Amino acid sequence: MKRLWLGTMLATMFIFTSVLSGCAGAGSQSGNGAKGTEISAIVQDRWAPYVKKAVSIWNSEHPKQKVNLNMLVVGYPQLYQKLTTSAAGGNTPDFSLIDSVWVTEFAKNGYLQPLDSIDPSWVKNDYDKDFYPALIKGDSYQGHPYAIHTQTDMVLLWYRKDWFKNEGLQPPKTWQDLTSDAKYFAQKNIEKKYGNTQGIAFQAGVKAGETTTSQILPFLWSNGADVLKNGQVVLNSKNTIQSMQMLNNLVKDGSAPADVTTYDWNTSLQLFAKGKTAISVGGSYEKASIQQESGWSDAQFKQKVGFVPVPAGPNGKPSTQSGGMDYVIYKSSQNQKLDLSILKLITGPKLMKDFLVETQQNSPRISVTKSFDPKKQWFLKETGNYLYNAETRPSSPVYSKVSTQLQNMIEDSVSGNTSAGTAVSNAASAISQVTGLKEKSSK
Amino acid sequence: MQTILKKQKISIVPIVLLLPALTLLAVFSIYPVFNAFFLSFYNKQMLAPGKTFIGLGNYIHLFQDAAFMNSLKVTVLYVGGSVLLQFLMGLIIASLLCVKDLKGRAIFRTLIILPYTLSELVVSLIWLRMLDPQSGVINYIISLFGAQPVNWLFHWALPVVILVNVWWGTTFSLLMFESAMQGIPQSLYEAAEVDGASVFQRFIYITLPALKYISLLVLIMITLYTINSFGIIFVLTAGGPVGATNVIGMYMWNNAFQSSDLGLGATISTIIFIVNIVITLIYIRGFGMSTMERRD
Repeated sequence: MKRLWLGTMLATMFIFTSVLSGCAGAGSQSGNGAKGTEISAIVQDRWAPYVKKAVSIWNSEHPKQKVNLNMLVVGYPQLYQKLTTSAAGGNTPDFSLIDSVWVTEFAKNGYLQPLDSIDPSWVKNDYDKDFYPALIKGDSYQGHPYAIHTQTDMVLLWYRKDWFKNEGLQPPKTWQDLTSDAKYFAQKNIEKKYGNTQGIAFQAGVKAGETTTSQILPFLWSNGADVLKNGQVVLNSKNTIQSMQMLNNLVKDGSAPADVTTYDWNTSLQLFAKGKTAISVGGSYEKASIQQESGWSDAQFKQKVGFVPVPAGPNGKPSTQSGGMDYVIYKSSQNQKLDLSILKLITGPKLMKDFLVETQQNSPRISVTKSFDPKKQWFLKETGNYLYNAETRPSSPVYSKVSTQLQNMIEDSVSGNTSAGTAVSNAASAISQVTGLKEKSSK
Repeated sequence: MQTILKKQKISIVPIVLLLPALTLLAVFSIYPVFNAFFLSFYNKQMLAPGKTFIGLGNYIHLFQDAAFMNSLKVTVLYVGGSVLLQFLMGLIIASLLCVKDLKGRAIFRTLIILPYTLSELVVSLIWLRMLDPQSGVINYIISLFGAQPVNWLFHWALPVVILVNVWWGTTFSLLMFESAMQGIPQSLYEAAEVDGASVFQRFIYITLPALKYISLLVLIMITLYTINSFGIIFVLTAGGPVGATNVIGMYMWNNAFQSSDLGLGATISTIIFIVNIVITLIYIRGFGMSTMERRD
């Protein structure tokens, strides 16, 4: 009996020890080599080769200060979860990739190191001078820069240049142009001619998540409306209601189908690429996908597709929204100077340009935009000009909650579930509640 | 201690063998339940360090939130529809598969079990393609009969997600019922047949009473699973359009992980836990307390 006892206890302990040691082994990597400093990073798959490249350049240039990279590569859907759980668990990496809309949240909660505290002269002489001002503003919190853009993109209105030309129409510059063009292409005889099924496509529901927020916000800005301003919630305004009513009217007059509220994040681009819509609200990052989906070469794309910023409403000017992915350095990092040195290489003009040309993304650096070949990289060069007047999404430590309320507002207004006025008023109150900011109504 | 164990004739070996499982259960099941309950009284944001005690603040907020009340209503319809159909379909198909001398039984069974071998995510993605308004096979089929294409996930969102859930989940109740039916002694049916009982009477007076315990188990399991899971809805509609399929699980996920509000997420999960317990008790009560008696 005693032997059985002992055997059982030993077996139990063995199993437990094996399981625990297995867990520990799965989480850690033997990245800390005999020489060099280990730097940990969390990045997305497309960015990973360039991080490796930068480390390799660093190591060849600094043989006495080598870096051993311990990199975790995750997909975009897992990135926020991974970063927040790492932060909440006190296990942040040295640096990571982060969506530009998350910067304020992480900075406010004290996880990020301001860049000007690590290398003020680089911030003054390179960062402040070469990155687009709108992006610097979005990457700053309480006057300090916390993030470096690695690429950027912007909201655009794609339109079928060839169809517009055939019909003698000009690209839309105002909301009036937009609604009349969309309605024109939704006519039965025109649909029969081009094979499209709707005049305009846009994401307008919670199903498309952040895409809905980012692509519809320019419709507020283009009419002089905003979400947060000077520490107040200014959403509840006549201009916002007008924006929502305009989108609702696109559905009411048959230019867009009622089910735009059920679109996935990429439905509009698919409809556009398949020739099912004449106009689509999208982003510059969709060019490669549209080409892939439609099979158009670059020359065909240039001939068939046009793009403009979101047209001006009655109370505003044409507008676009820029976003993108950033690199940030965590406060807990023991090697902040070294981290920044690596990031300077990754986001330096050379590697950045290679990355942007490969991925067809816009440059956050003015000098890189200027260096694009006007023939080969015509799209990146032309769209780069929009970035001077771009705006960024509301900067808030609870951005995700703000975005959810905006998505609800858009879905409710466009579907006609509630009137635009009620949807806007509800969203403004909810945003005031979650942000703790005072609400300012200007109806 | 040893004396007590000897006196009561309790062997220590089963306790030791159960210890690892009990430890894992305590760490991964019991502790999270208590932790969620505890967290529901706090304002805890994912990234913000620390948490603030707010008493019943999260509960009050929830019951004043129109979206939460809507999610409760949608959950009742989704769970009610799914459970009723899964239970009935499982029972009917199991009865058909148990028909004596049925030809091709193995083929039918395999075909019916097939959906259950796929993960919820795969099933959802398959249906998403099939229901696509532009290129889905369902619209193609109805177009052959002259019908106009329908955006199923817009106009019929809730019925469609219920049907997809039933298509996938019926196999579970079917398997349970079929295995229970195979355990009913054939002699009972033969005796009833000799006494002149019709097929329907045999089903009512022999099959159904014999399925009482398994029915309770099936009902509890499919109800709890349907309340707790939202994978199909997540992929097909993400709770839309305009909250039409925003079940409580989806609502919780959005609050806890999209909005990073762990306190509110914990409150919703506590409510789901209480609802699960209440439903289980109602089922047990509905089937009679004798169900809880030990069957020797």
